[in-house]
Amino acid sequence: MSTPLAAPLLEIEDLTVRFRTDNGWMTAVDHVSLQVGEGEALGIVGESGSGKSVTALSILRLHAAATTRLPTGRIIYGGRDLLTLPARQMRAIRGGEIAMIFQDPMSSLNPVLTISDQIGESLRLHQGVDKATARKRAIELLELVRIPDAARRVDEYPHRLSGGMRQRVMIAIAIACRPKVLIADEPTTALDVTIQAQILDLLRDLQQELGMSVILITHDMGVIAEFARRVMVMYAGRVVETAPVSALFRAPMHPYTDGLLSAIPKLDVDVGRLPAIPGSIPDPTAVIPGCRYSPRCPMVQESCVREAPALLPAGPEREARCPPRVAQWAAARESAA
Amino acid sequence: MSEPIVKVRDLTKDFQVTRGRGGPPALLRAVNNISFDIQPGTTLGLVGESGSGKSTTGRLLVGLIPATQGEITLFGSTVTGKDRAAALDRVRTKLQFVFQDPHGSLNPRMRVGDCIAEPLDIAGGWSRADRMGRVAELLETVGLPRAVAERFPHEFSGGQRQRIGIARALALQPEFIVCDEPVSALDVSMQAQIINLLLDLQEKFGLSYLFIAHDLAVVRSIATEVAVMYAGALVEHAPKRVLYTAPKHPYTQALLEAVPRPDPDRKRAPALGGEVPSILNPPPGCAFAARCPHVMDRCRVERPMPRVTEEGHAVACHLY
Repeated sequence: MSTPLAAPLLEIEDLTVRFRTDNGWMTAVDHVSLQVGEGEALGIVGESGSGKSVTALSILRLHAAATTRLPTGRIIYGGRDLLTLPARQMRAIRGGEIAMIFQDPMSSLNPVLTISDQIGESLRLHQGVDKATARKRAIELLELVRIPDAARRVDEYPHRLSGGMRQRVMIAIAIACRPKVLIADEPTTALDVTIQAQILDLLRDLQQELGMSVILITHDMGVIAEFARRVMVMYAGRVVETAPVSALFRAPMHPYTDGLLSAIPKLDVDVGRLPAIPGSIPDPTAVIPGCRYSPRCPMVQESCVREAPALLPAGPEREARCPPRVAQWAAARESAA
Repeated sequence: MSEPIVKVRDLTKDFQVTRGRGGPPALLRAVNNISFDIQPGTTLGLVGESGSGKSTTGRLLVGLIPATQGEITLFGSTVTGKDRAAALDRVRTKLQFVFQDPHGSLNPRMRVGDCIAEPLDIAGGWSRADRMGRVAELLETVGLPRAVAERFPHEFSGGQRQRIGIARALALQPEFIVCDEPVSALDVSMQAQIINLLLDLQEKFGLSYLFIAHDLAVVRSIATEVAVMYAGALVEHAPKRVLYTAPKHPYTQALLEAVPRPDPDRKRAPALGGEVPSILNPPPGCAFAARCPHVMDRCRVERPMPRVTEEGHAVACHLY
C-alpha cells in the first residue's frame, strides 16, 4: 500500500456505500481506501457515477439515511472511526475539524440570512462566541478570502453577490473554525474560467497559510494537474489508479486514465479527430463481471472479464487496478535492473 | 470566397428588466453591435463567459427572438426588419438548433422515434412508411441502433441523448445548425464522441455550424474560425490557429492563460482580478477596461470598434 511517511491524518479503509434505487441496490462506492496526510492536497478525479462525491460525502456522513444502506469499512480520523461515532460527536467534527464546500454556492447558502449570520453560525455553534464577536470574525474571514469591502458585504444577502463571490463566502464559512481537512467537491465547476482561476489560487494560498489538508474532487484533469499533489482516479465506484500527480500525467498505468487523458480536447495544439473512449459509462445498477472498464478497454484480455482485478502496487506511492499493465511495468523494471 | 450563408451586421439585442417592485425598467444590452459572417461548410466557434451574450446571439440567428437593431441575412434572405416572419419562413427548414441539455430538450413521454420524427410531422407530407424509414436512417447516421426508436429518452445516457437530439436536428436536412453548449453537460469520455460526430456530419452533409461554448479547448477541436465575446461585445475574431497561437485582445490572452491544462509542470500566471461587469446600462468605454492590464485613459471613455489588423483577424482594442 502507498502509505505516506507520517501517519495519515484521515484514512478510509475499505469503504463500501450502497443506495436503494428503483432498480434495486446499487453500489456507489466499492471497497475504496485512501489516506490523506497532514497538509496534503489529494485530488479525486472521475466522471459521473464514479463514486467520487459519494466517497467525500461519506467522510462527513451526509447521505440521506432512508436510501443508504449503512456503509461498511472504516473512516479513521484522530484515532476514531467516523462511521460509528455518535451523532453528537460527529456534529462537532462536521464543520469544525472537517469542513466541506460544494459545487453550487447559491443552493448551499441560505437566501434569507445575511453573510454575517451564515459565517457566524458555525463560529457560534463550534466555538460558542457571541453574535458581535461572530460578526467581527466574519469580516476578518471575508478579508481572508479576499472579498473587497468586507465590512459592508458582511451584512448583505447572498443574491447580491456574484457566483465567484458566493463561492468565496462558502470558503469563508468552511475555514471559519480552522478545519484540519477541507473537502472541496467540484468547487469551481459552476464558475467561469477566469473566476475559476481566482478560486484555485485562493484555495492554494489558504491551504498553505492555514496548513490544511485538502481533498479536491473534480471531473477536470486540468484542475487536478494544477492543484493536487497526489491523485486518485475513480471509475464506476472503484479506484482504478492512485499516483503522484506528475507520474500520473507522464505515464498513466490504467487504460481508463489513458483514455481519459487522450479524450480531453487540447487547448495548445490542433489534433484533428479526438481519440474518444468507445461506449458509455456503465449503468450503476448493472452487474459487470470482472473489471468494470473491460467493455470499453482497448487492451481487454480474457482474464479481465473472468475475475475482478485487485489494486496492485506499481511503484512509489502508486497503485493500479490493471493486472496486465502492472505485469508489463514489473517486467520492464526487471529487465532494466 | 463563396457567399457567406450567415451575415450579421451591427446586431444589437436589448432586454427590458424590472428591478425591484414598481421601479423603472432598466435596459440590459445582451448583444452590443456585433458583426460577423459564416462561410458554407465551416464552423464559427463563439466563446465567452456567462453573460457574454453568446447564447443570445445564437437565439437571434435562428429567429427564436427578434433583434433590437441590426441585420441578419441567412442564405441571402434578410430575416430582420419588417418582413421578418415571411423571410424566416423561407429559410426555416435550413436552420436547426442543438441544445445543451439533452435531457431537458427531449419530451420524456415521447418515444425516441417520435421525438426524432417531430420535425417531419410539423413539416408534413411524410407517409407512415417514409417517416419510419427516415427515423431509422437518422438513427444510423448518429450511430444508434434502429431499435432505440421504440424506447424512451430516460433509458439513455447523456451522450446517447445528445445523439438523439442531433438526429432530430438533422431530420429536415438543415444546412446551418446552431449548437449551444452541446457537450458541456457531458462527461469527458462522451464529449469527444459527440465532437467527432459533429465533425463527421459536417463532412458528410456540408453543414455549417455556429458552435457556442465556454470551453476554449472544445472550441479548438471543432471550429474553423473563433469569435470571442465579452459583456455583449465581440472583442476578437480570427481563424482558429491564429486566435489560439497569437491572440491580440488582452481578454482573449487572459482567458487562454486561465484555462487549467492537464500538465502538472505548467505554472499558470496569477488569475486576472475582478469580474465581468454588469450589462445593465453599460459604461461608455471598453467593457474590459476595469480588468485590463493594459488599460489607458481612452479605454474608459471611448468604445473600441473591431479593426481588421491582418487577413481575417479583427480585434476591438485601442492597443491596435
